Amino acid sequence: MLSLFLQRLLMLVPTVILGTLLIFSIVQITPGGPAYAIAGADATPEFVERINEELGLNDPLPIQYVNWLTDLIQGSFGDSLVSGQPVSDLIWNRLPVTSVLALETLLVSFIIGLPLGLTAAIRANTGLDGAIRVSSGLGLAIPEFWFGILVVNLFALQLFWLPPIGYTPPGDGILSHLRSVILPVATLSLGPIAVITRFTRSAMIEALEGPYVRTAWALGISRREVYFRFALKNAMTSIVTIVGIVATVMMGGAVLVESLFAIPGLGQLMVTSVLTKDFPVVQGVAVALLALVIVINFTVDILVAAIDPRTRT
Amino acid sequence: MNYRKISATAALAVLVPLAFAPDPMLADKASNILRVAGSEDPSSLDPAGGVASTDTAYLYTIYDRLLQFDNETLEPVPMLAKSFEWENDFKTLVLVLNEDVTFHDGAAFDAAAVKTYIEYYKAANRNRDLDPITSVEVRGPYTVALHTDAPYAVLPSVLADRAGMVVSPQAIAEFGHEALGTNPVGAGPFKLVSWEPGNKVEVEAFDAYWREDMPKLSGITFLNIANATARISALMGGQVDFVERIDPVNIPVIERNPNLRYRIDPTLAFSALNLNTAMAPFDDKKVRQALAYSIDREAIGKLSYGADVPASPANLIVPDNYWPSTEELQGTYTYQPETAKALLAEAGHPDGVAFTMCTPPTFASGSVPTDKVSDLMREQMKAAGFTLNLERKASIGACIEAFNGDKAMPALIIGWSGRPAPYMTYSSLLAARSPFNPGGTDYGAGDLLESLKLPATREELEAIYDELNAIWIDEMPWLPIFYTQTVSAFGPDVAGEMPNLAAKWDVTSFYFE
Repeated sequence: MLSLFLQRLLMLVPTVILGTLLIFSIVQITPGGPAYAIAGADATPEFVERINEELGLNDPLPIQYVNWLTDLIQGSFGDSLVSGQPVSDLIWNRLPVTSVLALETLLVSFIIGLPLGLTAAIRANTGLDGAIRVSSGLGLAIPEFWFGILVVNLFALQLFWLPPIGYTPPGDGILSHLRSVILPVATLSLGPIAVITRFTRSAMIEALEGPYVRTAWALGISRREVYFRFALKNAMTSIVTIVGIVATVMMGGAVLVESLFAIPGLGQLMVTSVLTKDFPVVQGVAVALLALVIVINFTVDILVAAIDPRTRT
Repeated sequence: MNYRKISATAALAVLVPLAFAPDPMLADKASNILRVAGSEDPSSLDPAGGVASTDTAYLYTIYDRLLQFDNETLEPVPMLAKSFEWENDFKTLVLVLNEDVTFHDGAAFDAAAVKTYIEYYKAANRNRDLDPITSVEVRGPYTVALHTDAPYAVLPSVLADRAGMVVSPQAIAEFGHEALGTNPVGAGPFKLVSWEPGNKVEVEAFDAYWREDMPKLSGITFLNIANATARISALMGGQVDFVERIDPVNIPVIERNPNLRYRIDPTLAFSALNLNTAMAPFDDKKVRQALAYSIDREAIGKLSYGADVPASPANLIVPDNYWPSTEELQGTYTYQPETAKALLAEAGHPDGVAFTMCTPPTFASGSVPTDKVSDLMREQMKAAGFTLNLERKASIGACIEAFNGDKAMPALIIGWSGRPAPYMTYSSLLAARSPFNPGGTDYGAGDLLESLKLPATREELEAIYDELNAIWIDEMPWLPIFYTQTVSAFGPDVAGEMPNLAAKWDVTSFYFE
């Protein structure tokens, strides 16, 4: 187990280097720069040139990358080109918000998706199974942003049950926090619930067809024990893997949802910094999200190995 | 165990308190705090350190200026300086200051503080509008003289804007250029409470503010809500009281809600085609005039803003209701494709002309997606003998680099944000060496522009601007399309807003009825 852990850890190094190079390159080849965003479209070229010079944007790209990577290794993401504030401060202030939103979404998706998938598998090829599959298909097909606008319109602007925007941290009152995240979490979890439902159903059906399950039925073991002790345990490897994939895809969804609900998380920070071409912030947030994705996948790998010894190769 | 009963009880135990949990963002009128939804953070809260025009809504709350703009005429009028007058053939501006003003940190506002600030502003080397000032003379505790080498008639207008936002000398000494941007200290009606970048800026009323009738609010919270839909949702949900700028398509939504209202403000800004008059085909005045007859400005304005905002077609570089305008010239160019064709034929293009125009994602100060109008423009021009090819770029910066830097195409669709001092607009667009005038010629307006630097009576200035407008209409180095309008929305009981010709909201006058 330890060797697997170390092996996975070593694999992170080339992943991080390639990831940072990709992030830096994609940001830099985007046309335009932050100078006009800072100075305004009708700024003089001399003024724009002065801003570029002050911000080091005229240096050759390899030098800019090396400078940036060196700072990164030393724990510094640089300063925002627009506000001058340390990017690390901006990220650390917002990381808890996105993390809480992501965790709550994952939890809700799992709590709803797992039982639905189990039910669909246990009642496979019945009307209930059909209804669950159709619902999960809709959940996959419906665009997140459109769903978000719909729920805001209904629950916030028509019924006045929930706030349309904003975020209350848990520290400011757990109930107020929950009220503020119901709509964003519902929006963000629509797709993941559908995915987890379908994968759970498939994994459970496959597990239920296994020879050990037939043996368990033959031995007269209770249905509850067959489903949860034998089948589900064997299906968990696939389910945990898909939860990891869902969690990483959800990062992209968080950008849209934070923007729609004005939640001050990493996603909103990414949107505003992309619009203003604030390169250090874009790069810093991308690296932070990359780190989150790496940690999630790393955790999933270890969990899968812990659940299923057959994967510890 | 009855799992259904347990589940139902647990659900009720969560849902009932949840229903009554407070929403911290909801209106609490007793707190008398105005919540403003904007789309951009300030670039800096140091007037010397920032450059973005979107900073001013924040800066106006924290800093009073030496002078301020009259809301109707945009003439500079007293503020921290209770009077100002010229000496020395208009090379010295003498300011007499108000005597009962204190900065937020308790430092006294006096002539020495003004001198310290102006030197600090110039040393920041960020904004150059105070560069013509060669020295600052303290003539008395509350009298200061600003000296220039040459007449600088726009100096009062400059001091009514960012450059006149006086910072506490104590704060300058303590924080300097590095840290004042996040530790602002002014003499305005509000002082900073907190700034969470990308989220919100909070200010609270300054108890020792020198004007007795202000501020009427206890505080202001600026919320950075980048998404336009979210801003409207927040207004409708009662989480904000004022949205600085809304998309006109949302006007019907506002109208349907009896608690909300909106207003449309004309501004000094306009959208236009910037033409390189040193490059074919626009090196020929007749072709430029033909182009001016080849677009239906009213239709483009309607398409840009929708039916609820009156279109404001533009021919001149100042709007109709602004005093430098010349009324009889405003309607010169209307959509006349046959006239355009005739002019093209006279210019030696009987078969028409093709040209490429750079299009960024948005124009008109970022309020209108370019794709919305470019196809309509292309069809209108086709009837007039012009073939319009579009070169789309990902940002306005990329377009400006291609147009100004690389000279890759002769036209660019862009907006001009306008200047409270009209001289700044005319000199920027007509002066031979201006970077906004790629043609490199002043079209014979050079002497007129120089004469604007000398103080003159209103009648004399109007006569000069009439001549400049006549040159403009004849030469058309830029093709104005429409004047930009801003649409803002208000929650219940919000009042006190002033006309916003400069498109820079000053919310310090707001209050709740």
